[in-house]
Amino acid sequence: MSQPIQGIAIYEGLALAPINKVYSHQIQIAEDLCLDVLTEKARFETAVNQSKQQIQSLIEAKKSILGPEEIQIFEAHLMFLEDPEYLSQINDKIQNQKWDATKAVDVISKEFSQMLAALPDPYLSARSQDIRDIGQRLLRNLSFKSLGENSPQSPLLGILALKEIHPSLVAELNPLYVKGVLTEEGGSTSHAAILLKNLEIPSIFGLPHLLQKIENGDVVLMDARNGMLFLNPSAEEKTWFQNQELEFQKEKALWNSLKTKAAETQDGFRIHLHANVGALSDLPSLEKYNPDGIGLFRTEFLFLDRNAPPSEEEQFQIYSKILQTMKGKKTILRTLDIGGDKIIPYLNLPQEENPFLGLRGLRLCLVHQDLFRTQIRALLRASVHGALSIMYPMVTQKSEWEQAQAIVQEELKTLHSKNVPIASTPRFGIMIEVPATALMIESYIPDVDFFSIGTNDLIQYTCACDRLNPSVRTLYSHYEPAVLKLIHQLAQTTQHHQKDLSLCGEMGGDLELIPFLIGCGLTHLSMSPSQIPKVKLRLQTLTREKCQHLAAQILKAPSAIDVKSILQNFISHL
Amino acid sequence: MNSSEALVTLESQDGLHARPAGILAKRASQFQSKVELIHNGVAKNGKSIMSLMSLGLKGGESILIKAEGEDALQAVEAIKHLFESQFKE
Repeated sequence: MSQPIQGIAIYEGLALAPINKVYSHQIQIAEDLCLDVLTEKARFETAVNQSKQQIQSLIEAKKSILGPEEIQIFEAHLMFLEDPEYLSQINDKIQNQKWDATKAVDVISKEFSQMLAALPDPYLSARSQDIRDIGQRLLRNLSFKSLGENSPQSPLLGILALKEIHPSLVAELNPLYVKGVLTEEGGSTSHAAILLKNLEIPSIFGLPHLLQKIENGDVVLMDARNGMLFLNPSAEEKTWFQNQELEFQKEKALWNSLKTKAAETQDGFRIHLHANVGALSDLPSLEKYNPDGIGLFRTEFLFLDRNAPPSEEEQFQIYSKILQTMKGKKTILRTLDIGGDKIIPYLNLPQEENPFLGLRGLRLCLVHQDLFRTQIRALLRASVHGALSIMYPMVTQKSEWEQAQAIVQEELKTLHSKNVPIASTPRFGIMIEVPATALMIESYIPDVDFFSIGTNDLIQYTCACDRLNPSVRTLYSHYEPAVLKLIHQLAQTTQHHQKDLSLCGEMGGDLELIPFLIGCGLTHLSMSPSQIPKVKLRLQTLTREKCQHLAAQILKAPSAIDVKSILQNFISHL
Repeated sequence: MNSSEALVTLESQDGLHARPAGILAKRASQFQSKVELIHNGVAKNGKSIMSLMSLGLKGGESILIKAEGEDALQAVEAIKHLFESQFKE
């Protein structure tokens, strides 16, 4: 196979189709002076009116795929098109400098966009993109008018290639015609990315120098599952594509057929499969895989890629949205888990010699209480919108749990005194990531509503190996008997006391380990959403009795290698 | 010609984002008078949503509303009211 270009996978899928470099060859900024000022101003006015109509009909037609946030953005676009300052500055350039309308729109849009981009408020600086988006729309309308062809109403075909893609263009795409989207710039959390996921168009962003490497009409092969783009695919590669495409379609059909089926073992024992969610852009995939709830929502992503922590209001909005999306299904939001490998520059936290053993998770929140209290208030306020459970990460001592709960009580009191509505039943639980906590679980049982095993860190701390350090990588294993023993004990103890226990690390989606986890008595597993259909299939091949036998056998194994071979042997006989 | 001004504070936690800036611009446009908002010595057209957003006004910060024209007094009152009611439409 030829060397592919690597980008960021936005929405999975495969496509083999000709390249369509959108607009890049059609939009030209005319440097010549305009011949007639009045005609040019009229041309601009027509483009403004056309743009308004397009956005209005877009909001109407696409209500179903646009979220409230996206609708707000397009409504702002309409207001931009009526902005007297923006319009008059463009008209001034045409009138006084005799600029072509395209140049005036380009220059003034960039000026406004740069003014916003320079602001420290991350919300406002992100709006600079919307002004660029509006500028591009005006330019498209101006250019098509003069070219008299390819009006934006005619459908776009093939695999689109662009420098970057704006939400307003995505909203106009028809997935029947557009086979894929490739861009040089853009991130996986942008609105454009979220919309592409909703439309289920295979997409890859961040492909370096894309536009220089391809020409219009080049047939390319994109593998958006892995973020790879193959130029000039050979006959072999095309055959490979056809096979892959077939497999992928089969897989998708299978997943769809499983979507509404409850996860259970062959002998009808119900297992609850929950989703791990690390970004708002993961929410559409929840609809697709239909989990029984969210087992781990990593709230720290709200704090990344910005210059200041999110306000209580912003957090409240997002938590409420998640709870509403889940429509009453159990939703576990984990409080801020930073420190260790997760660093947030604007908090200016001192560098630590040994960050994984340092101030991280709940420890950090108890020191930086302003951050913690803001988040707790936002969570408590959002609790009216769904079945909220709140979970603390990295609990090591009971006293930390007690301190956190004391803070919750104080914040509850404050909110009550202001008559803020709060659900009566937010549940509170802890993650078990530290061996000390795993061993002391009985002492938490009377007070804690639920437990969740965070296997990634539990392995790292049990085996004393940094999971990011490649030189000790062999010590870090899902099959480490010491860790499996801890999990078994936790399952037995919580079952005995009838306390909820779930497991939410990578291990929960490990298809080979599933039989062992079921054998230990675990009934709630949380995993990345795309693993859910695969785990459902695995469960259909298992019975509880067989799994219990397997677990007993594994608990006697002396090493990770032995564990793995027992598991593989078990699975090959299913 | 009349002129009027008033100092107001943005009470919400968020800054002057698209929604409140849009409401403000719409309201200001209903008056004949020239309306300006002045923050840190920078004056911006109160009828322009983009200019208002570019002030970067944060929650808790104060800003001067200034209007000149026949209905300057009413314009300032109306915008002052928007700030006081936290831009509830």
